[in-house]
Amino acid sequence: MRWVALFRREALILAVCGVLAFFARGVVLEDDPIRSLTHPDGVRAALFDHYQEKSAFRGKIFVEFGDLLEPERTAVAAALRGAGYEEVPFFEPPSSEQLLALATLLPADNVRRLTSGDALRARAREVLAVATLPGGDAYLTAVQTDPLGLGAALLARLAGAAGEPGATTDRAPARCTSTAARSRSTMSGWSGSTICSRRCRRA
Amino acid sequence: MIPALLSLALVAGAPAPLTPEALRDHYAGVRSLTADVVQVKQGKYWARPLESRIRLQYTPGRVVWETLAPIPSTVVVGDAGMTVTGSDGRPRDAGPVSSDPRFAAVMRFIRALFAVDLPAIERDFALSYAPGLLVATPRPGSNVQLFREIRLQFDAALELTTVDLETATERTHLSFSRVERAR
Repeated sequence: MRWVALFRREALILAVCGVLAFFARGVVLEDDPIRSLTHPDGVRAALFDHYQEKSAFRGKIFVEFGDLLEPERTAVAAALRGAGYEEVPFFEPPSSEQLLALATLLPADNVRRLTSGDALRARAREVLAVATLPGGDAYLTAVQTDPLGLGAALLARLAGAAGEPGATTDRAPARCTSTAARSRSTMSGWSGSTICSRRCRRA
Repeated sequence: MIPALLSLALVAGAPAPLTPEALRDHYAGVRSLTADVVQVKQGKYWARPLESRIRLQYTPGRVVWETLAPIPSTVVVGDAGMTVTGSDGRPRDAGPVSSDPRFAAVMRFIRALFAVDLPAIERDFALSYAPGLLVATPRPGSNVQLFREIRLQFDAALELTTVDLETATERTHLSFSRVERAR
């Protein structure tokens, strides 16, 4: 009893876990939420929908065309069109209004650093350098939307290390197709898309 | 006699037939390439045509795009992303921008373009061949659809002489000289 008194908080947690385990002993999570789609129990079959209901990628599928031959690409594209899918950009940067709305999430120090004279001059130099590359006008369009680089700072803030400068990926291009109306997603979804690009099925 | 000489001269001056096989053979196994490039850009973001002089260095997996004038800068496109060194000499990593798949696709295309790496270019573009000319148009669904058309001009020795790139808002003309390749 002395042990129970000493570790009463831990004992309480163990007791609660034990009770929950007892009542949930019949609940088995399938290997992954996608497999649960075919489960005969409606509640379990809806698990994937619950899992996805707030996702920016809901209603979209990802199709990897990289290794397909031209006739195969054409056939897949026709099948998708026939099924009512339309192509939407895989990655859509946020509008300047969305960026400004999200900018309040940045700490004051970040904003001061981004708007300092040194940072603006460095950004101008970077923009000039990249603009001289073939296709550099696309970069200028992005800069027009986000002249201060708020998007990169927000991404670093939201995505942690993955969004820090220097973090790069070299993914194979994929296409995002959706039955839903074209929607603007924020930059949060990029890591999710690489997961989904291997599985092409209706979400 | 004169017509025969004239026809010989015409044949000699005609651009060499351009075939995928000839280009692949010519550019296969290139270990490095350097060239001087004069670039003229015209479009929405430029008040007047911007002419810049560039020193291009290519090795597999890495392109160094060094603008000598009018504003010195160096852009290094490599496997790990892109580094930009401005006129202050300080390198800056492109950071999260490199994670944008369209940006990554453009960078991959730039590397493939300067190496005339046809299999890599064909991943995103449909190619058509004319005498001395290769025209690339983006495939539907490609991540480099910002380009409407790219025209690569080759001389009789299959050396790249000019590249014209057209996007919705910009036209870019690149003229190559002092091209040196090593296998």
